Amino acid sequence: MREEDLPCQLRSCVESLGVPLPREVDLPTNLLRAVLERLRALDTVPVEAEEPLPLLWTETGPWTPSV
Amino acid sequence: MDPLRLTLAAARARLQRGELSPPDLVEAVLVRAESVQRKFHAFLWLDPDRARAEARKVAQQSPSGPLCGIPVTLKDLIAEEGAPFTCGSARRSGVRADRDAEVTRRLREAGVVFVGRAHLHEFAYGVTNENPHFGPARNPWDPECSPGGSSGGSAVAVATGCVLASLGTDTGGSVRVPAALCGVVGLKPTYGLVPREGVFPLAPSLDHVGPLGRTVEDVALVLEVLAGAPGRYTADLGSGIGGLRIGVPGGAFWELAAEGVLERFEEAVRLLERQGARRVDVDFPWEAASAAATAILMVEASWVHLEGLREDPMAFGPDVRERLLVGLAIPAERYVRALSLRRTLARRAWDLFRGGLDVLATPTTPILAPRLGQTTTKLRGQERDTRALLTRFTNPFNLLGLPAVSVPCGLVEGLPVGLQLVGRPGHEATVLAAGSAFERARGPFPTPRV
Repeated sequence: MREEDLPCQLRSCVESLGVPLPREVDLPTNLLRAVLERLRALDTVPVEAEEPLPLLWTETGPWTPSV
Repeated sequence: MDPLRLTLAAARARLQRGELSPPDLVEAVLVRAESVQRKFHAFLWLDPDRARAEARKVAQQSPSGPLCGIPVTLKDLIAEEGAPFTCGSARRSGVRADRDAEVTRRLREAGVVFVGRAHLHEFAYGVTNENPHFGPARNPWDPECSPGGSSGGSAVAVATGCVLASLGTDTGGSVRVPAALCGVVGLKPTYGLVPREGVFPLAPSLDHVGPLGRTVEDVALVLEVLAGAPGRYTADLGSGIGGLRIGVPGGAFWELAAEGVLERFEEAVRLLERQGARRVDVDFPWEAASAAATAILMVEASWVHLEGLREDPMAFGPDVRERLLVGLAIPAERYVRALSLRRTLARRAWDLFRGGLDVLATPTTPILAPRLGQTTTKLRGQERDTRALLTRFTNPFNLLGLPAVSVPCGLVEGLPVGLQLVGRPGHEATVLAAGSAFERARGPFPTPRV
């Protein structure tokens, strides 16, 4: 997401999901920017072909459903 | 009788011997609760007559349950039949629960007496307990400071002797953070150990229900009831920790910790070593784990509250509304990546434990209790977001679902610091035994002047 697109992107997400935010309310663009920046850390660890499945623990380690 | 000087375990023993009656104990805590409420705002609702009636009722039960007559308060998003169920939101004023949550039912069956409804951050979505609808709860060590959150009222009620235990919920640290900042013990169990039925969700993939108490033993006694496992968590509390391998993170992990907190933490680890534990340095991608927890929490919380946002976004307090709106705009790719990473990191954590680690130790929070209204904190010359800092050491373990307890380990500038001990999944007994050994070595922790 480009920096200059953030306000528009945020407004679009909010409105497309049917949230009636009054126009005079400031959108939390700075918070979105900070969160997306923080989420870059997700890319610092290679994901080992994992599927996005729920995590449950068992006696033998992380539970993996048969796939 | 001063309830502030009574642990749950001691009260339980006196009740079982007939030296104390449930009505007498409840009367003592109600006197305390009514005075504490004016200064620290631990409760969103307090009905002394209801608590007195419950105390009279449990006094007549035969046989009595394992927690018969023990005063407990529940965070006001855990359903308690007939009691308010606001979840800390003004839009739910007037809502009362029509049935007990499963954890409430188990505690009621064990004979506890419910006292009031504990204060919380709105919908549990925040770690400062600054609630625009009901006003803040205040830290009993300094009323100008936050007690932490989101289970802030629970921690304040325990720390001030208004109750002998409480239940909170923990999605990113919401039991452990207020426990640390208020100088009490708080436990987040293994994901899935304690049922969440009847508990208002924040982010279902990360939500846990856990107890707060004045000592590790008190928390273990409550967990035994919550998990339906009598004796499982108290049996090993007196055992030593000789040979226990304690992992301590290294490297960049410490860049986000205040110096005073680090000093208390290092003292705590040295104390554990003097009891026979062995220190092991541990490397783990904490920053990635914390980021994954953040992504999952924000997206799921926005999903939980989407209908509420559609009905009236302005009914949420400004801080919670902002976070919910941002959660709507986090790209799906980030959420899926976080879920995938969760499994990768869980496998790495499992490898650490299989490699010989018994317990991992960190400070519970990198900073002391912030002042109310303090949105940023200066750390090593840089202004940082206070809310994000407070959960930085706790939310990786919500992501991983591992059991983690916070035990008070000292004071800095008159404010408590927490030691967090984390174990392998299902090994609450090990974590609690280590916490109990630390408590014995540390000696009695001071109580706030209230």
